[in-house]
Amino acid sequence: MNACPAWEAQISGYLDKELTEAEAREVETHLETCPACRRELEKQKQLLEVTDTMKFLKPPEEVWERYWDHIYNRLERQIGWIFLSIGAIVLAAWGLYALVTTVLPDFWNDPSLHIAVKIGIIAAGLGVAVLFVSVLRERILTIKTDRYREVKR
Amino acid sequence: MERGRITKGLEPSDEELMVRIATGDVRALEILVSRHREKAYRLALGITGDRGTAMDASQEAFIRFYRSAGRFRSEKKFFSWFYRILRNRALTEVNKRKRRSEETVGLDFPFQPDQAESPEATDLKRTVWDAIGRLPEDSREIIVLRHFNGLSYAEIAEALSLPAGTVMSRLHTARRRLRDELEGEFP
Repeated sequence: MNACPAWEAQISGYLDKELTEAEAREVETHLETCPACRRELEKQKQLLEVTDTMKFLKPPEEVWERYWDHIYNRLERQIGWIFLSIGAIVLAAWGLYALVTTVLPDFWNDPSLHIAVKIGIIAAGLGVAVLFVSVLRERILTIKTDRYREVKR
Repeated sequence: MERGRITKGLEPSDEELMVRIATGDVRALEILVSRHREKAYRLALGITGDRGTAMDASQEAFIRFYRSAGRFRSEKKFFSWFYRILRNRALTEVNKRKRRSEETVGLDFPFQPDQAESPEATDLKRTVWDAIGRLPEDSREIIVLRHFNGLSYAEIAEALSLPAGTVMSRLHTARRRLRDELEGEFP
C-alpha cells in the first residue's frame, strides 16, 4: 500500500523539523491513523540515518591558512596580466602603425634593393605571419579541446 | 592593491561587506572569505565530488565574486549571489572533466572514515553516494545542499531562487528518486 501522495512531502518536512508546530501536529495526527504513511516515515528515516552520518572530509588546517593568500595572489596576478595585456596591445598597435607608415615605404623605396628582393622579402614576411597565426590558432584550439592535455608525455 | 587584514570590532553583515567590496575594498573580501570559505568548499565538493577541484572552484568563485562586485544590488542577499557564481564555477569544472573523459564523471567518496563502523555500513554509504551521483542535476543539488551542507529550507530557497514553499516538494521528489536508485538497499 502506497503512502498518501498529499502527505509524503509533509513527512519529509516533518523529519527535517521544517514544519510549524501546527503542521507537525497535523502530520502526527495523520500518522496515527495511516499505516502506509507510517511506513513511508520509516523509509525516509532510514535514508536520513545513513546520510546524517556522512560528513565531508575536512582539509588540513594549513589549507585554510593559505586559502586567502591563494585568492589574494590570484587577484593580484590577474591585475598584472591585465596591465601586461594592455601594454602588449598598445606596443603591437604602435609597431604595426610604424611598419605600415614608415618601415615598409622606406624599404619599398630603397633604390639599392632590386624589386625581386623586395617582393621576395615581403612574401616571406607574409608567409611567416600567416604560419604564426595558423599555429597559434591550432594551439589555442588544442588547449581548449585536448582530452589528453593533462597526460604527462 | 593593499593586502587586506581583518579589523576586529563590530561585525559587519555580509550585505554591508558586499557594498564595501563593490568599492574595491579587499579587506571586506578577506572578512567574507574567512566567514564562508569552508561552506563554499563543501558546496563545491558536493557538486564536483573532487576535493582538489572543489578547493580551486571555491577560490575562483570568490575571485569572480570580487570582480562582479560592481553589479551588486543592495536588495540581493550575499549567499544567493555567491552561490550562483560558485555553482557555475563548479559545474564548469565538472563539464570540463566530462568533455575530457567523454563519459559520466564518477564522484569520489569525500567523506570522513569512521573506524567504528562496519564494512557493510561503509559500503552502504558508498552506494548512497554513487546513487546520488546518478541523479539528475537538480535532484543531486538539492540533496547535497540539505544532507551534506545542512542548509535549512529557507537557505535552499535563497540559494536556488525558489519560492520557500517549493523546497519541501522538490526535496521530497529528489529523495524519492534517490530511493528508487537505491531500491533493494534498504529493507
